[in-house]
Amino acid sequence: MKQKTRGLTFTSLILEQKYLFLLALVLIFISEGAIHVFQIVKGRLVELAVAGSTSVLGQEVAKFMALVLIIPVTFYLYSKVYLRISAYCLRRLRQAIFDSILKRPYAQFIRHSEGRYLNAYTSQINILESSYFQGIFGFLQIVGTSIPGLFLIYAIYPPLLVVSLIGMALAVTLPELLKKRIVRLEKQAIKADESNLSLFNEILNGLETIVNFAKEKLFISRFRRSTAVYTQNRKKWHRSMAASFHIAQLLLNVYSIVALLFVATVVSDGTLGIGDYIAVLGILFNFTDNLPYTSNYLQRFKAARENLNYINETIAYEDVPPVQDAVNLKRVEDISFDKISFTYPDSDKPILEDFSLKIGERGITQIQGESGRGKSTLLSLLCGYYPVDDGEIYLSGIALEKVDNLNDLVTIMRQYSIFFDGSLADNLSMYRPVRDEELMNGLRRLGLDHLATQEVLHAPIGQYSGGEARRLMVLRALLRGSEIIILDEPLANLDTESIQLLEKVLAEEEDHFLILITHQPVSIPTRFSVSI
Amino acid sequence: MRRYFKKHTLGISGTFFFICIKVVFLNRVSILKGQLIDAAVGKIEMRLREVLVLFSVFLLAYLAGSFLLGIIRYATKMNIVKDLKDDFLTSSLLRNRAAIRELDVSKSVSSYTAEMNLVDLQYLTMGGNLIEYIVNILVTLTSIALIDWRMSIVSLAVYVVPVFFTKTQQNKLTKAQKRFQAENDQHTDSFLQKLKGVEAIKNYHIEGKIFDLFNSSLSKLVKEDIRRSETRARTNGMSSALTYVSQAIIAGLSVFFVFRGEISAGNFVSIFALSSAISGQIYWLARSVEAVISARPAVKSVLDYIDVPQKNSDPVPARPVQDTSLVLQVDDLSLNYDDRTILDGLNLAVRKGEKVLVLGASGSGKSSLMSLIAGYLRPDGGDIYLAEEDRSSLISMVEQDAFIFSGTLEDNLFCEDITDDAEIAELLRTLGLSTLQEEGQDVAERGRNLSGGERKRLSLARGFLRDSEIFILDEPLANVDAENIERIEDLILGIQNRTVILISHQVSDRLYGGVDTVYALDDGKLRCLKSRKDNFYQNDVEKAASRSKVQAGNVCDVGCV
Repeated sequence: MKQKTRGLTFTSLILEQKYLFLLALVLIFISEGAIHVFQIVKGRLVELAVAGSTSVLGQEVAKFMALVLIIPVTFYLYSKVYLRISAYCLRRLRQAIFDSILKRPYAQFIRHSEGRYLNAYTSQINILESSYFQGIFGFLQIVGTSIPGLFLIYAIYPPLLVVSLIGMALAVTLPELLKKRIVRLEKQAIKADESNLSLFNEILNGLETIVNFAKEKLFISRFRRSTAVYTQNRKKWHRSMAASFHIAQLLLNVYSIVALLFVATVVSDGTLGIGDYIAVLGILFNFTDNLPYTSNYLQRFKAARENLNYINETIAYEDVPPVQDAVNLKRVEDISFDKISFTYPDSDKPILEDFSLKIGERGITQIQGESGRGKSTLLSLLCGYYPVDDGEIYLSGIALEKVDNLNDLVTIMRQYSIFFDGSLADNLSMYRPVRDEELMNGLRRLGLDHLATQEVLHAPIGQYSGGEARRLMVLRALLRGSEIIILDEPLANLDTESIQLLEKVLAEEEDHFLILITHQPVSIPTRFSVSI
Repeated sequence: MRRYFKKHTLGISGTFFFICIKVVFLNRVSILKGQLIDAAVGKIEMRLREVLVLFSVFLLAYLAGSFLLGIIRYATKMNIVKDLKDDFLTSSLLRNRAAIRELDVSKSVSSYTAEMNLVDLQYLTMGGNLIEYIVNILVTLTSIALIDWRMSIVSLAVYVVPVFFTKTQQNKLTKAQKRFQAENDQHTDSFLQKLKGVEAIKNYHIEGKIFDLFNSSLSKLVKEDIRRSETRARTNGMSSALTYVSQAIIAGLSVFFVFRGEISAGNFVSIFALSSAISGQIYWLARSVEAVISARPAVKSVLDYIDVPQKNSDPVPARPVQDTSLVLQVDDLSLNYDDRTILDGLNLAVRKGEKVLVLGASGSGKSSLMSLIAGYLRPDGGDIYLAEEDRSSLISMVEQDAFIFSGTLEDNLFCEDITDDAEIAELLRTLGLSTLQEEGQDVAERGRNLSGGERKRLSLARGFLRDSEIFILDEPLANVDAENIERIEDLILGIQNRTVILISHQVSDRLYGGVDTVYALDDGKLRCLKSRKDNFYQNDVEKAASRSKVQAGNVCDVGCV
């Protein structure tokens, strides 16, 4: 399967912000490095205080004060820069998800449920923000403290570096403990989250229907089961995380005692002075105390990879290979369905079999037929949402898949109404520049005089009755003026008077291929009338 | 939030108990570590083994306590979150009907995801940690007090400052968080809306424009996110400053005391070790106070959502009908929408078992009238009387665009109470749905794999399977093909001993002839076109004319009873 969108990785996300990231690294190194120096100065102060010498004390106190200033300022700048990186990475993720939704073919869009897109876009991004990006924030602090720490340890007593490196190796390998289990549980939790969100979304959209049938209790108990599954999953996941964290802590504590004893023997030998001893121990303990957290962070990052994978899988879609010798059609002379057969990908019941139809002239074509017989499917095929299994659809004799500008040629109006944010004018023109007079004229012709004023047109969209919404959708489709206009049940929910007005308007559209799906006959002259 | 804490008292006190265990042992472990250092350097050769054993014992105890604390704290938090989520949904379903119509789905989804996430990760998680930090600091302060009480007072003062500092930032934090939340709600809303309109977006080739709209909404969100992170960075910087200033103050004072010979060098080292041991905690203390404060608006918003007036506080109460032969009576009902008058002093009375048809042009207010009767809308004036106070058991309403759930066909029929499979099968056959049932294919999200007509018939089947006194059917024949129209008409006309209210813009002569009463909804009032009792109509020709034009007929004030 060829994927159009390259999967996002944490590295690629952060590399997009590499300068900011470098800046953050520099800042945290300064900040954490200063903390080490702070410890050393503190050690020296102790020495001086114990010795009771006042001569250099002032100088050391001044250093001490300077550090007290440097540490918070650099840490503030680090937080500021890092949080900005995190915000930009999240923006990139959101854009990638939305971009992939808009760019994939429609047939691939409906392969996932709304809950899946919603889960990727809300819950999973939230989880990534809190577990991954905030994790990196703390992790960098540890890295920032460890690396200068290692240098200092090396400077004071080189063999200690080996001791520290062993500890680091331990911390890095420990997350492998229980890793499989944690990754599996994270996957389950993501699934549980998705189905919970799907259910929530569905219940909220169907609220009125549920209330009408007094089925609140049924759905509440269904929902409770779903949250219970999620809660159980997360608890299990956390138990594994906690277990692995504490095992790591135990092992690393044992290690730190061994390291301590090693240092002690060195001090007993007299190789190290008492001041260095305190400084080294300070650094070493700081180092070993952080190791379990290092382990924990690494483990969380591994788990977070699953969340990112989930987002990547949601983003991924098959690339439609560019068609050889594609044609840009200016004008459609005829539409022909040549012995086509079609079965939906996830079904084994053929919807259309050996179906042929030729529409050779502009004007109205009416398609009638019992519901479930494939009227809507036929038009989805004409829109190129799915490839036909057999046969071919031609526009002006050119096979449909070779028509490069199919989207510009075909406009489809579905049975449901969709409005976008913006004004009524935006929604009718679909954000193209269309003169107000043209819009108002259209509204009046469809009997929507009360909407045909400047104020209403440019105010945010309001609430419309079923029949009003239907007529607005028809007007939107007609205004686009594409070669082929498909209207799915344009007359449903309309009263006699509105039907007459609409029929009159439709009859005037002689210069387009107007395809109507209706269950009721229209009383205007049609060029073709087809029954499926 | 208190009631949720109360409900989980056991988990919370368990958490508190293990926090104490963990902190006490951690304190012991830190002290022993110091002794271990002394012992290791060889000052007390004999004691090394002893100290090592003690250290191991306390370390294990600390780790065990810490592990158990982790488990119980997380479990308690998850249980509270689960309760919140359950209540969130329950309150969506159980709110009174007028509130249901007013519910903003996208906003609810946004609140359910984003705000719930804040409550979970910031308020509850960080709040739980906060308790641990406080206990830890108290124990350490006590240890310092045991060595020198003056130092402990100084330390206390130093530790309290960061918390107060965050408190002073409370307004800013809350404000930044609120702004972010509002922006996030809007953004999620616009995402959801676009998700629903993907087909239209593609078809009209406006991906570019929609992407621009999306991006401008996203930029606003990112801007607020960065603004919010600025306040967080500032608290980070300030807490870090306070941490090191506090260390400096303690160090300075200790040095001063040592000079004056009031504290021994050994104690000095201990105080120093203790104070730096918890200096890291100050940062976390401040961070968690910040997290809890900034999550408060989210907590409030979630709780406000949960605490909406419930069903029994119905703002559109139905009064019992006086005349027991009636099931429904509407007096002088009026409704305005914006500046338009939808219903204007409408009257209606429906007898038990009567079949009523309401005809009207599109936009004439038919659906609004039904919504008023069913209690989804508040009237601007007038009264509604019903045979029973509880609308949900009295009325079975099939909306014009009833929602189709994903799952099996049976899931959608809500028929788990009906034991008679034959009855269901018979109904499905009549509605031409038996092939769907036999295929056994699951219904996709929003019934996407069904045709418009199939969805309509499925929603009707759902309605007919319910045994309630009043059936309200909103445009039952829209989107239905000729063959099925007849069957559905038969079904409707065949209903016995139940009251049926049909609304439609256009019906066949057969249905027109079969119902008892026909009204036209025109100019916000009902006009009686036909009444079986009065035999108002005798002339078929006149009837047909009036049906298409909705103009003939006399106005009768209180229905045609």
